[in-house]
Order: sequence, then structure tokens, then C-alpha cells
Amino acid sequence: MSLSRRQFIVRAGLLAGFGPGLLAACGGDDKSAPDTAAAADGSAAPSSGGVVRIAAWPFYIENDQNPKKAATIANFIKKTGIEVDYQLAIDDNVSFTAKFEGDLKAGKGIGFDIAQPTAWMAAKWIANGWVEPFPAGKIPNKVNVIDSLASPSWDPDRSKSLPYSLIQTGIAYYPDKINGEITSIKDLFNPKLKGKITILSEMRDSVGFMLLMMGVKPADAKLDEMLKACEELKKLRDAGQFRKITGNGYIEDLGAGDTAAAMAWSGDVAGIQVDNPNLKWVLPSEGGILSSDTLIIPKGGNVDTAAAWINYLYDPTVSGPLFEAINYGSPVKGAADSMTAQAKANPVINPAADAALYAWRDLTDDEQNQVDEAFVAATQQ
Amino acid sequence: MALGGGGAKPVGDSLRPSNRWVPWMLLGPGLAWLFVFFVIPLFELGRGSLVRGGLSNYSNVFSDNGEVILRTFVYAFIATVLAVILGYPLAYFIAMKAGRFKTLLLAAVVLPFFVTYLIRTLAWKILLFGDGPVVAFLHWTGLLSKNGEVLNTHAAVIGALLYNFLPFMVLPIYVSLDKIDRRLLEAAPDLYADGRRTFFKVTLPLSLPGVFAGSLLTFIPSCGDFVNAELLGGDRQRMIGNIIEKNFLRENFRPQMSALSFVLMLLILGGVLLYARVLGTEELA
Repeated sequence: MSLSRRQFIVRAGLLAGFGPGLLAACGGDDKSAPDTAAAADGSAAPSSGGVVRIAAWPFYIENDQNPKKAATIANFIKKTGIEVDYQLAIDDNVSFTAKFEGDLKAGKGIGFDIAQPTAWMAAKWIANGWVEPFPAGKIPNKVNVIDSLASPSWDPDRSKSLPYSLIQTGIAYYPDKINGEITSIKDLFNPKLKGKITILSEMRDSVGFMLLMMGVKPADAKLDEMLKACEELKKLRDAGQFRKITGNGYIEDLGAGDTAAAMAWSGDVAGIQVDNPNLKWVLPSEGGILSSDTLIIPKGGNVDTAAAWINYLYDPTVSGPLFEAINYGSPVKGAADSMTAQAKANPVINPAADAALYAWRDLTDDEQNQVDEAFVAATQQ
Repeated sequence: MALGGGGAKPVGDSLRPSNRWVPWMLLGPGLAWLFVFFVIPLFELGRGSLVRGGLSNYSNVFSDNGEVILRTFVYAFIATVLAVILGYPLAYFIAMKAGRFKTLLLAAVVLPFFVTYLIRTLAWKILLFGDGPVVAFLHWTGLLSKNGEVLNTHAAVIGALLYNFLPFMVLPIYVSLDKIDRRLLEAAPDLYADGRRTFFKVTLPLSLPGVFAGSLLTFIPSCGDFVNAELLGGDRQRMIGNIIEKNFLRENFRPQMSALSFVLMLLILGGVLLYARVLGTEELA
């Protein structure tokens, strides 16, 4: 997911003039924080004190242009005495990793105690030994992680990582622009919508959609099925089905009403709906793709302050209001109970327990390379 | 190098012992810059293009990207030709006829550059959206069919390339027109040339170096551009730059993308050399 899509919302929003709405949407409950510096001096830190340095995606805290004012951060400082250095350092998984690869390989710190790569990339960091294990017993709240993400194959006991957020890939569409409703991926790929829809340039989302349409769950897909899915995408593309195949760029076109229907990420849609109330979100009947950004402690990071931050995020009363504000799903059990009734009922933030959401299985390096190559050939060249 | 002869000039007398180093000192920063930011990266690019797959990375470039490569050069070529057609009369008017408005008009040509490239292109996008004023007008005039659109078409991308690079065509042509010795233009009618012949026999040949320089300044950046195709084009308007931009940083694609970059560079170089030969500018400059 997420080739810098959230940052794109900022740019697109400001430039295209639908900034105020989006910012309001994401500003969420921005209770003005008390004087944080004084609070920091007041209480002694339970751990080594000091600071937790966080590398984050844009739009992942209530007010990320002024993080000190974000309620989640201000309350953390008040509670623990640990300062927070919150930086919007992640633009996309690949370039973020590439930037620090040399330092990580040399076993040096990268200047952050927390990073949030997407799960598949977090798996790679863990496999390469680029993370610090969580300090034993310092994150008691980790029992609150939702069952479906409690034990991934690449970190079965969650001793090195925990999910930060849940992202659904579904369909956003304007009923009036297509004279009807979309309920399935099949509808989205119907030739009637030729040239009116956009799909995502993230392999796991677009290939995942095609697999689901073929009746294959991305968790069980075999390599030849993934390659077949790429071929099918190519056929659709050659037939002119796709208006565009983009990463972050789809938000702008969808927000301007230039696209009739789009493969879309849940949190973005909530933002676009602020100015386009007739935009609808649907999880297709074949299913949608579930992915998660993942908290890890990069090699050389301060494990004590990082653990304090992670433990704090896994308090449902913290997680609830935070994710209500940023419009993504919370991976913390019971978080919904700390949301307003309206947010609790919003399927973009809280999909039903039996919602047809499917996560990918882990791919081997060889599978990843082969599918990546087939996907680029099918969608770009 | 011509600069080496500088020592013979009397100006340098007081500095005689260090004289011969002066040209190198003057050239030094430029050469160092060129070496660090051009030669080394180029070497790295070449090495990177041979890492995995070796020479097959090159043979695959055309089979994988043939359509995109062709499209890129067609776009850049059309944009450049249109820039000459639009830019030449404009430059001619400013240089020959504008009188006291010359400076003002030149400023107007450069004016769009006071707005950044990205914003200019995004502004186009907003204008060209399906619900926007341009499409509405074209529908009203009947120039565009009822369901027709402007965004995500070849015309949109070529038009934006033209718009963004037009000043690079106008300014060099203006300079070469402006420095034409006016006495030549007076002599032509004395020798019984009418206006048309004066233009084709005197003005145009003397301004060709400007056309040449302008064409390069338009064609080369157009070939490498990705912003216009990204923002104004759709799935069928991708250029080479888009593919390189999307995949270069991904480790397993780097060899292929390096090879593609190299091929792009060689094609441009080849095109430019051919163009220089055809136009024979060396004698004119």
C-alpha cells in the first residue's frame, strides 16, 4: 500500500483547494494540550526517560503538522514524562528502507526509536535483523492485539513488531456517475466502465483484487495464480478499462469527480467524502484487501522509550479516539468502545467482524521479484 | 582549448608566473562539478545496468518498453515542432517589430517561470478536468464530442510539454534574430529581394543557430519529462520518465531501469547528432 499517498493528500488538498475539509477531517479531536514542557518536567519517567523518536507516515496522528498539539502525544508526555520527537519521515516503504539500508547493515542506529513500515516490509526488516526485539515484559498491553494479527509467520510471538493501523483496500464510487451501484470487483471491471476507473499501482492491492475475482484468497495464492492475475490485469488494461494506474494520485482525480470509480484505501475515502458526500465506499462481495502498517524498533533505537510508546498505543482508550480521528482501523481490541457511536458504526473505521477482508501471505524473495516484474510489465510498460 | 592562449594577452602581465594556471582555476570548479555529479553517476549507472542479467538488460529494453519509448520520442518531437511553429513568429515579432515593448514582451515570455513547474502543470489539470471550463467550452463549440475529454489524452500531454518548454524555444531564437546585422536586411531589398526572399535567404538562415539551440532545449527535457504525463496523462500516455521514476529505487528493478536510462540517453544523443549534421549549424554559429 501507500506509496506516499497520505502525503499526497496534503499536497493535493492544499493545491486543489479542498484542503480545509480534509484537514478538518484529519484534525479530529484536537483537544488543546496543556503545557507539555511543564508536564515533562513534573513526572519522573518510569524508564530511562528521555525521548522517543518516531518515524511516521503522514496523517497518522491527530495533528501531524504540529504533533505536540496532538492529544495522543500530549497525553503520552504527561503520563510518562518521555518527550516525543515525531517526524513525518516515511514517504514510501521502498525509499525509506533504501535510505537507511547502509546504516542498518552496519548495525548503526538510524536516529529513530520507532518506525512504521507496512507489514511486508517490516517482515523484511525483521528477517534482516534490522530491528531491536521488544524488551520482555515492558509491553503488557500487547495482549490487546486483535487475534487475526496476533501471530504472523514472520513474527509469530509478536516479540519484535505490532501492527499500528489497519488499512482496507476496497472500492469508492459515485453512483450518479455510473448510473447504478457497484457491489463487486466484477462490477468495477465491467466493460461498461471502460476508461472510467482507476486501480492502484501497489502490487498487493491490484493483483489481490484480481485474485479475489478469480476466487483465490491472497493468503493461499500460488505463484502461477499470481502471474495469471497479472496477465488478466494486462488484458483489461489493453482493452482500455483503466483510466489510470496510480499510487497516491488517485485521490486527486477521485476528489475532483474526474474518476467514476476507484480501487481505494479506506482512510483516504473518509477524507474525500468530506467534500464529496455522494462518494460511496464498498467492500466488494468477493472481498477486499487488508494490510497493516507495523510498529518496529529499528536497530540501535532506545527500546525503553519505544516500548513505553507502543504500550501506550495498545491501551484501547488511547487507540479509540486516535483512530477515530485519523479514519483508519485500530488493531487494538476494544478500541471501538472508546469511539463515538457514529465512528463505531462507520465500516471504514470499524469493518464488521465477518467482513470479507483478506491479507496476503508472505512471499519469498523469489516470488516477490517474479510477481513484481510481471505486475510492472502488465501495468506500466 | 581557446582559453589556453590567454597567457599571450598583456592583461595578465603582472600575474605571469601563475598565468598558465588561471584557465584551470577558472575551469576547475566546473570540471569538478561535472566529474562528481555527472561522470561518477554515469559510471555508476552504467555499472548498475550490467549487474544482474548483464547485456540482456539492454536487449530487453526495447521488447519490454518499445511502445513507451516510441511514444516518448513522438511526444517530444511533436512538442518541439509545434514550439518552433509557435515560437519563431513570436521571437521574430519581439526582435524585429516590438520596438519599445521589447523588454515587456520578453518579460511576458518568461513570466510563467515565476510560478513553479509543478503548480503550472497542476493548474492545467484543474482547468482540464471533465467538469472544468475548457471541456465545457469545447463541448459548447462542438469541437469536442459529447463524451469527449481533454485530460488523459495525447493532446493534453503534448500541449503541456509545449507550454512548459516554449520559452526555451523563444529565447534562443530571439537572441539570434536580435543580433542579426540590420544592414544585411537593408542590403537585401537593394539587391532586389522582396520581403519573402529576404526572410528565406537572409533572416532565416542567420537565425538557424537559435532554432537549433531552442530545439535541443525543448526536445531533450521533453524526452526525460515525467511530470506532464503523470499529472495530465492517463494509462495510455506514459513516458519513459514515468517508468524510471516509479521503479528506479526498487532494488530488483534497478539494473533494468539503469539500462533504460542509458538507452534513453543514447537515443537522445544520436538524435541530436543527426540533427546537428542535417542543420549543419557549426558553420552558421
